[in-house]
Amino acid sequence: MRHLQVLVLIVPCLLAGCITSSGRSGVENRWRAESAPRFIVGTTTRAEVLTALGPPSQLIRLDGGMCLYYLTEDTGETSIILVLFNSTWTKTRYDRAIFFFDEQGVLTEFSTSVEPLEYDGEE
Amino acid sequence: MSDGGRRVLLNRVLLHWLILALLPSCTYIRKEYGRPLHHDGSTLEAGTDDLAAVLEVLGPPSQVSAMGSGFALLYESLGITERQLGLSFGNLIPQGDLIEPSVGWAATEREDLLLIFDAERRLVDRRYMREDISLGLGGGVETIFTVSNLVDTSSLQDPFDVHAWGTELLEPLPRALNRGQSLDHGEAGLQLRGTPTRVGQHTLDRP
Repeated sequence: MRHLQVLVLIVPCLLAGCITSSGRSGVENRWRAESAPRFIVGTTTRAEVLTALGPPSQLIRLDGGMCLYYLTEDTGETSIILVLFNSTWTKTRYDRAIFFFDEQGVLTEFSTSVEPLEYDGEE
Repeated sequence: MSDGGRRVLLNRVLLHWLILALLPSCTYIRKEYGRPLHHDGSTLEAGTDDLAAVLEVLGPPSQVSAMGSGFALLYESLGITERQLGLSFGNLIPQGDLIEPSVGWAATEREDLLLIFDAERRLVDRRYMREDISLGLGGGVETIFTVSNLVDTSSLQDPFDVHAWGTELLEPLPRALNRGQSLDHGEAGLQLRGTPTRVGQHTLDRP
């Protein structure tokens, strides 16, 4: 009888599960690479940014210039299934870089995300 | 074991299963898109601060769009929480231990900061919004081995259109023809996540 009671209590625990997954989309966040060049307002050109970081996620024409926008998206999911209580937590984090240029293609403003994502690419 | 003993044993086993099976189960689903905005832009002054000052305080935005002679930056942060309560019938009905009627309710908390600049890249307007919104109820029958949404939150979970920006001309007609007016293009305006797609400029997307 005691064995049966233990079995009845254990079986639901055997149905429990845990799942984790992660994925990344968008461009590589090369601005986080150790080999990434320093970007200097008034000096760095659009060509240099494109050479260093590759094609942007989005290119936008502005009056008197252009904007290059880079976006890396990282999603992680954790699920716990305990039958009586289940939980799924999905976190999507972003690493962005944005560059503004004047009509001559010279960098006027730029910024990168305060909280970086780890860079997994080649140095 | 005597008949009486077996009967007691069977009753105890059934009681244990009944307790475990009828206990309601709870499910908690949480989805976060971006971190909470660490600044509401209140220290930025329209007419005074420029793009460089804004980027120094806020960093890169979620979306950018050209707007006539100027442009706009949109910062977004979104969290969706869904709670579900389910009831298992255990062995009371055939396969009852595998299915679970459930009801769920969801809510979202979101922050949005819209900044508009003129052609000289000077800040001309700033609007911040923080809302907690109920997304409604949902119900269904699930298996005990699955955890899935009961409330439709798909409109808030679409990936950023910027990921597909380079493929826009490969889209079917009439979407490809109307890219110039699309809110995904980066040159025709911005929209918040979750904006209905059956009105406004999105009607040009539909065949």
